[in-house]
Amino acid sequence: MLDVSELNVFFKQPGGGEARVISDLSLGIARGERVGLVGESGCGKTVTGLALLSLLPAETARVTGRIAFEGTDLTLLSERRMRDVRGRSIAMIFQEPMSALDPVFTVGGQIAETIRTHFGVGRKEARERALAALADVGIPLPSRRYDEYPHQLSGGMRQRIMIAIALSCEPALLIADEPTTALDVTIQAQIIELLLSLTAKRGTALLFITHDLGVVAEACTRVITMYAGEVVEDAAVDDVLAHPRHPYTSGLLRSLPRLSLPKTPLPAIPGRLPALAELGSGCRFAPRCTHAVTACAQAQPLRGDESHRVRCCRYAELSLAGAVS
Amino acid sequence: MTAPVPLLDVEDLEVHFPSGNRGETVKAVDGVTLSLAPGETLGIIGESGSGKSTLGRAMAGFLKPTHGLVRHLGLDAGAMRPGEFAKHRRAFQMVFQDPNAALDPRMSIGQSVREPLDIVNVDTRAQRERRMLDLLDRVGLGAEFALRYPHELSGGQKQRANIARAIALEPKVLVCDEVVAALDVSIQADILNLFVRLQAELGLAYVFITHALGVAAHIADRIAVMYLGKVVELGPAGDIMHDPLHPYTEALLSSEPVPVPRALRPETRIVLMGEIPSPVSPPSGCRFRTRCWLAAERCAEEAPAWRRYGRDHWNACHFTDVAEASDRDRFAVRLPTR
Repeated sequence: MLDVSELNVFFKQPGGGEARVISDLSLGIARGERVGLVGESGCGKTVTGLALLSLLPAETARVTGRIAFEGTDLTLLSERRMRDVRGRSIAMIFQEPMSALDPVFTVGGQIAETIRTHFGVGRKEARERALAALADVGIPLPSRRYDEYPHQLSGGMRQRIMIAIALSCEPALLIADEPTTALDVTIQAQIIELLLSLTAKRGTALLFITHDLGVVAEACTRVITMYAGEVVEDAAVDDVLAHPRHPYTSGLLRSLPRLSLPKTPLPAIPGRLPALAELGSGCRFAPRCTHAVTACAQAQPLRGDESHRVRCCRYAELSLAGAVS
Repeated sequence: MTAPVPLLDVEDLEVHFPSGNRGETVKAVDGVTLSLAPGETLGIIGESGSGKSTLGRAMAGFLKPTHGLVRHLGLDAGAMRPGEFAKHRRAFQMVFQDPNAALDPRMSIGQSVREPLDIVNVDTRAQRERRMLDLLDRVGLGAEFALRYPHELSGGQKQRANIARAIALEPKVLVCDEVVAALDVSIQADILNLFVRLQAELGLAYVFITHALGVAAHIADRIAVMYLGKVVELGPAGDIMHDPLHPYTEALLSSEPVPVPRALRPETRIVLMGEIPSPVSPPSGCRFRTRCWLAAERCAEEAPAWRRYGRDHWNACHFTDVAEASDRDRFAVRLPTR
């Protein structure tokens, strides 16, 4: 359904020149599939989500490559045609619902507006559908909540409203960028449960952008790990959790406090994410990798087979620790 | 029984804030009794609005209680004269979540770390300068960081500078409020390792406030679970994580997503319904009853007593002794995990 190939994103630099923040990214999502996109701050996961919907400002960002969605290359669409895709075919929700909701309109009105824009139905029918959408996302007393403003709702309720808006047009793909990061765990559990049941019922595919491998384990069937603007690993979630093949993915898992004995040193990843200007031509993780060898100075393609892709020349010989020992 | 004087203890602590213009009161902390032993780490967990940050600030002496006592080394911190308290509070320091907010952007890291020493004004300037370099070294920042400014540092490095500043006056207690919440996991691991090492080297006691159960389980000796201004369960970290008694603790543990393959996850999970009620008008009786699947009439009428179960494991629930869990599933659902 979605097939992204050789996606590159360049940000214009203040002093002139460009920085490549996403490099030759390729990923595919099948109908109804739930894919996690993980990595630490600055790895390019949010930029990837925004690039898929061409939401990056044209003045500062340049996008190249192919984003094929149901056979159409989205990068070739005009802004007007792209507006029909956004919301209707691919919807997106964000970490902070308050910044995505308009504070001066009622939440019901904002759902109805989306429905009227994309389906061209009358006010009355849009209201009916919006009320149904509120009930679907588990908002108690929809007819009363319809007329409330975003500030009157809790963070969890606002995220439910965002999900109602996003799913009101029955998109084929929902991109969720850290949708539960700002929420407490008990509310996070409710929202994940809601996202899973609604997307399963409607056959909506999910691209779940998060830094939290636990959330990925619960919400996704496949996981893509990003590092410094590149995909470094792409495989089934259970496979990656048990037997990660990229040292970075393994490092992320092992640094979680849950997996070490209390008060024993946690195996942190040495060093820090390189600045874009410092990137060499070889493996981008090599300077921090405890398994690096001379071959790592060469550019690394994605290796392995379709079921488990990994950007590491030693993937076949290394036996890396996962979440289970 | 004559127990040694605890380093820090609070007794029936209440911190209430006036709210809005209708004379309402936010009962942020509403009757908490806890103590902290030297060299110990007490974890405080709970959701936003549970009062854990307010409790932490009151324990460090940053907030005056509206009722009850905060005792530092057995002395009533609230009753001290300002001058006396200023001297006394050196032993009780805090580290916060946002590493930026605590560092002055116009001061070099060296100046920031030296500032507490300059204020106390002991030793010569050269000695203080040397002490500042020692502190930087202790938290894993080289001497070259002394001349840098906060904007030149990463989040993890800034948090190290804040820790250096907090331990400058050789405190006995550090109250750490969500100190790793803003950091990526690999940096978080680094900083947690630093806290564990400093505790071993300096004999510090920590009050470690966090919403992340994994972090609490890793660093804490004992864990207090807060809900709506009250501590509902308190015990050794292992007991709380593996054998929780309170339904709220059980629900918290069950809702935390664990990154292990599906075959290793529990078959069902507790998903609580609804949200934490307002601390302006908390529910009568047991405060958790509006979300609890065990709740019965008694829970609305009578606040559950604080009872001890096993060694040092405390809990407040009417149903802890009831062998068979009730089937009242009105407020929570057990759902199959996917």
